[in-house]
Formats: sequence, C-alpha cells, structure tokens
Amino acid sequence: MRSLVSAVVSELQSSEVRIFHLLDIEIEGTHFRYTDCDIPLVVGGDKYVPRAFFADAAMHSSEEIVDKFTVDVDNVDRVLVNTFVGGSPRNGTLTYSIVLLDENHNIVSYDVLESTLESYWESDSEVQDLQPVAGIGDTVLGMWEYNATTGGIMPSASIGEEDYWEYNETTGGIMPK
Amino acid sequence: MAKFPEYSSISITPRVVVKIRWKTLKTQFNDESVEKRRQKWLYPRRDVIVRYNHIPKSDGETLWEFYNARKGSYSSFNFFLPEPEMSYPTYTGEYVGEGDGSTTDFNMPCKSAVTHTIYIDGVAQNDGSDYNYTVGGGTDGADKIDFDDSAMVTPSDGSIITADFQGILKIRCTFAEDIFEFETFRDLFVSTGVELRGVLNE
Repeated sequence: MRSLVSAVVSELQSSEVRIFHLLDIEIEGTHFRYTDCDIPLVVGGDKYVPRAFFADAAMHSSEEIVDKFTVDVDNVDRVLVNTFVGGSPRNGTLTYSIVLLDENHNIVSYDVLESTLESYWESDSEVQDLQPVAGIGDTVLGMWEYNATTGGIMPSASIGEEDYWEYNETTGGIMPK
Repeated sequence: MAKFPEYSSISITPRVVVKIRWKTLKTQFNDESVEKRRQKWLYPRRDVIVRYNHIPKSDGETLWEFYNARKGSYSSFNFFLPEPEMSYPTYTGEYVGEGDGSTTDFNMPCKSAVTHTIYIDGVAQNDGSDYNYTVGGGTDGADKIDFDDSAMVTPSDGSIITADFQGILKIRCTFAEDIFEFETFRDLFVSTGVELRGVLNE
C-alpha cells in the first residue's frame, strides 16, 4: 500500500472537497494530458487541458501492484483515434494524479495515484476506453489477438471490435475464430 | 465568433432571465447527517432565457436565420445583456481567460465597462502599466485587454485571468436545442422563451 500526502487526505476527509484529477497518457512519446477541471491546469510544468473522463476503481493484486485500471475518456472530437489506429498504443504509459486547489484556485498539493502502467488499449467511437493491464495473462474476453509472426497471443489494440476465440481440436490450442 | 442579433435589429427588446449554473458532485450515499460534496467547476456558467412580448414575423425570421447559422447548439456566440435602466451592475471574479505564454489579447466578458480591475492568478494588475484596457475593442464589441506594450509581461502558460467590472455582461453561449421548426421557434420566443446554454468566456 502507499500513502497520499496529508493535505490531500485531509481534503478527502472533509465534507466540501475541491480536488481534480489529472490524466497523462503517453503513447510513442506523445503525451495527452487531461484534467477533469473546467479550466486548464499547469502542474509540474505540464499543462493539462479540460476533458471529461471517468476512472474506474483500480484493481490491486495480492502483490500490491495495480492489475487493472480503466479510464473512459471523452473522444467526441476523435482526437485520440489517429494515435490508436495509426500508432502503437501497446506499452504506452498512463499516470493518474490528484490535485488539490485552494479557494483562489491555486494548486496546494499534488499526488500521483497510479503511474507507469504498461498498457494495452481498447477504443470505441466516442468514448476512448483505456484499459492498462500490467503484464500478459490477465485474460479479458475479446481483447487478445493471435500474432502470426510470433505465434503468441497478444493484447489487441482494437477499434470498436472484439475478437473471438475457439478451441482447436487439431492443435489443442485456442485460436482466433 | 458571432453575436446574438443586435437589440436594435429586432423591433422589441427582449426580457432576459439569467440563471447561474454550478456543478457539484454529491455522494450517492448521503443521509441527513453527512453529505460529501465535490466542486466540479471553478467558474459558473450562465444560462439565458430570451423572451419577447411579441415578435413580428420578419424578426422571427432574423432569429431563425441566426439559429441556423449557428447550426443549432453546435456553434457558440456572444450574448450581451440588455442595457439596464439604472446603473450598470457590478460583477466580481469573472473568468476572462487563461494565458499560454504568447497570447497578449483577451476579450473581456463585458462591454462598456465603467470600472474594471484585472487579476492574474489572483494578483491585481495596474491599468496602463501592466495591461491596456480598450472599451469595445474586442470581438463583437466586447471590451478587450492587451499586454502588447514592450514593458508589459505576457500572461504565462496556465495563468488564470479574472476581472471585476461594472458594465454590461457578455455571456458566451450556444442554443440549448438542436431541433426546432420555425413556427415553434418563433412561438417559444413569446411564450416560455428560447434557452441559451452558457459556456466559459473566450
């Protein structure tokens, strides 16, 4: 387990909370930095622009590392599509942080909640559904593909599609349908 | 940016109702003793309802053309409140914009301001030395501030510009609806009013 900075903890314990979240998606060296605040925030010298997103609960394994962390990002302007279609989102990283503002909207404190998640990504049209998973082996239906070159089953960066699998009696393996 | 048809171009001055809209996330587990609330917006939006006592067909067509030119709720425009009968109201802490380290001109969320104070990240600036103020010099006749003089410091990336002023409020907004027919659109102006949905100043 890890601890948040005390200022953030105090704010979260109060009844009137003024916190915002920061999302930094890095894919092939390009950063997409977003905040759920209604105005841009500059934190640590980096600018986070407003964009709606929703982070699901992080799932921790018994080894206390994050296994799964799902973020839905508003993609109505399709800004992420080219990166996901034309790029290689696999093994991108994601940093999810929390920032605390005072009444004058100055940044009081900032803390990283989750960071450097090796990732694979799935996307649909208007909502970019980002599902970083640490390591291969976390089987999620429809998010894997057969790699003809390596012969392995790899995470799939699909766009609005799902892959289906079936048991092959000849080879005894699970193959794409 | 476009602006709502001039009051002088419509034969009747509208009655305008302005609603302040904040956004608060409340716990779904609240009971009467404990309620957690999270502020989602730092600055409010203003929604507007525009009504006319009656509206000639030609004026209805002017507004209809404007609505279609905005493509329904797609394109934003500037809406200025009507001239008050008495003195101009005072507004405090209004959002002007955000610096990016290079932009030097900013449209004010008002026009015809008779008093004004500009703040960058909460620090009051001096008119004439830190910035220039031009009444009516901005887009659509809004007031404008600039940091053009060589001795002035361009607002840095991420710095927030706010203002206190006494003047006519400008509301950047969109139509709230995407679907209308002309008769309904025109009738709404003289019955319940047509709703405009506020967005942040630009």
